Amino acid sequence: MRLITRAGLYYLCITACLCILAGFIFYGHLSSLLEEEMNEQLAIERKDIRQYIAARHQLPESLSSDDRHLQFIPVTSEVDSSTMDTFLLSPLGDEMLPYRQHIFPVFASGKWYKAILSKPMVEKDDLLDAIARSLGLFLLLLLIVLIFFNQWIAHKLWSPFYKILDQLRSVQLQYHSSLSTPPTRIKEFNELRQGINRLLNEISHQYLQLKDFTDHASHEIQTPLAVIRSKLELLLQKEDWSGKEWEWISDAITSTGRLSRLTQSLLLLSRIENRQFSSLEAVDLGELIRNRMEAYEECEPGSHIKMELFLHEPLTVQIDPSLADILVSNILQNAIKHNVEPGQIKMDIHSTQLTIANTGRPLSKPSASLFQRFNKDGLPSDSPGLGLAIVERICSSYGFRIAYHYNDGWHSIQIVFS
Amino acid sequence: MKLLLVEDQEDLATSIVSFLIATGYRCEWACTYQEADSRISMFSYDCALIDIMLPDGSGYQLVRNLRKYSPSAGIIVLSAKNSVDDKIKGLDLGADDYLPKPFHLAELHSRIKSLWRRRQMNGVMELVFNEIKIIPDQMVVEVHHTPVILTRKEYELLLFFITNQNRVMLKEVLAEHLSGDQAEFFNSFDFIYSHIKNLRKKLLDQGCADYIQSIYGVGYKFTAL
Repeated sequence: MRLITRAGLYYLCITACLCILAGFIFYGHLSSLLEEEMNEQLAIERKDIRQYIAARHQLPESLSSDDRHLQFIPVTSEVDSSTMDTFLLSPLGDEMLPYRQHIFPVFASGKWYKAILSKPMVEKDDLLDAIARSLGLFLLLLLIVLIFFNQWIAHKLWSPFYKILDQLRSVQLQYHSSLSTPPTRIKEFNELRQGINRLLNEISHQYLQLKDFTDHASHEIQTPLAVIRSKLELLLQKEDWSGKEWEWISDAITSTGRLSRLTQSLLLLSRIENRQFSSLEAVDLGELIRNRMEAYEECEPGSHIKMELFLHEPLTVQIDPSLADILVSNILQNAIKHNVEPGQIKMDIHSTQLTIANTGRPLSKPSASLFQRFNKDGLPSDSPGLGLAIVERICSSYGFRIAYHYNDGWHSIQIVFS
Repeated sequence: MKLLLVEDQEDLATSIVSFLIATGYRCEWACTYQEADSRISMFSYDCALIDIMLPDGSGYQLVRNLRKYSPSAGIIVLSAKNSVDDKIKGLDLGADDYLPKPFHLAELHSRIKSLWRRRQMNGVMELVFNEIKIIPDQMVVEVHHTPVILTRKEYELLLFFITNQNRVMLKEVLAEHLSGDQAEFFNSFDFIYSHIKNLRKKLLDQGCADYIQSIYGVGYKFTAL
């Protein structure tokens, strides 16, 4: 819901409540006003009747007309005056109508009478009805005005805000360090614009620094590793080592390789997250997988892992070619490393999805942590457990959906490209 | 064979230089862009090993200059930034090969040798080691003048061994050489064991001496006995 719609709704709700309250107040005021007026009229008539009796020494005729009833009832002693509301049959005799009734004593021809004077009142229902109708009409008018007014405000008053919002949506940190919207005359929008600009400036600065860092970190880490490795290899060529020393040097060299791959994987992850892979090409994933499979089988001809590729339809994806290569190699690597011996790998390729299933022991950790960094599930410790995390980052950066299932000894990873 | 190493890290450069000199190359070292640029304009080299990130200039420019001064020289780009873009850029500018840091010295030697063969002999060179003869361009191996049928990996292994003879080769180095960027596919480097076993058997079957020596389970050594 738009802010302005919501504000309008609140405004309307409050107005409706106020209208109802105003209705009651109107009603109270109007009815007390009418009552006073009625009492005054009744008092005037009483005065007329008393004057009439004083002048003529007889009772006036009992009278019943549209706008008043007069009745005299002989009583033995003087009654008290009183005024009340009552209902009487209408002149047409078909409904009960509200009347204001005044009872007062008169003395004529040596006798006491109780005079009952009744005058019809405006019906309360009618009064309420009239008030409700006029307020309802007012509310309706207000609603219409509000809708048009909101539209106009949204167009005119809030337009700088929506412009800022539009720009924010399309901001790319590599290229933008400020918004290009011009300043407006509204103080709040200007403050918003300045705030966002300051923030953008800072973030893009940090972003560029991080990007720089990843580029340099690689160099700074790989170079000492290369030094260590080359020195160790020179050591290795000395002839007079015993078996233990060979092993130490070999382990140290293997560790430099591991460290080098680890930093490369981490840098790769941050490069993906920083969207530093921006070229898009149509890549045939089926072809890529077949090449990888063949290369693997050539390296390990007697492998105990049987690989099968079912290419139902060709699968071509718009992706950065080097990321496609990393994606394919990582899921394949994962399926090989987590396999059992003898084991199987089955790959199914459809026009928009790729499924890779491998035999293997059930996971010892919940499957939700499968795509997290440094998740190594029962794997020999020389693997840092970044492969699937990288796959997941690649998928999410392109909007591919990735899912994991385990069924009856088979782990399967499915990627839907759409 | 005269080499030029352009590398700003002194520690790394001294190891590479001493390794290459021990291997039998003549090797000079330049540690800055300026020094390297004046050397390549004055002297001629058979092969240059160029680090891309130099404190006072870009290795790419050196690649460009070297191509201009001596088109026949081999160029291997060394880079700590193992990115595809860098690799493509280096090769586009005229480099012959790309080796990401950290690399194994034996691998570097093997690349230099293979580059040298490609550039120098136009592929007609024969590689002879006692009774073994290799014609690299045709991937043909003969023992006592009888052809031996090897798989591609066995052939690569033999060539790598002969290039790096009398040197201890760790299983890891062999595995990375054979599998290239697929080394991570394997839980261990044991897959090279079967390749070595088959290679050794095929050579022995032809009456070849057993040159491949196992070193304490960590690697192998190819020696002329």
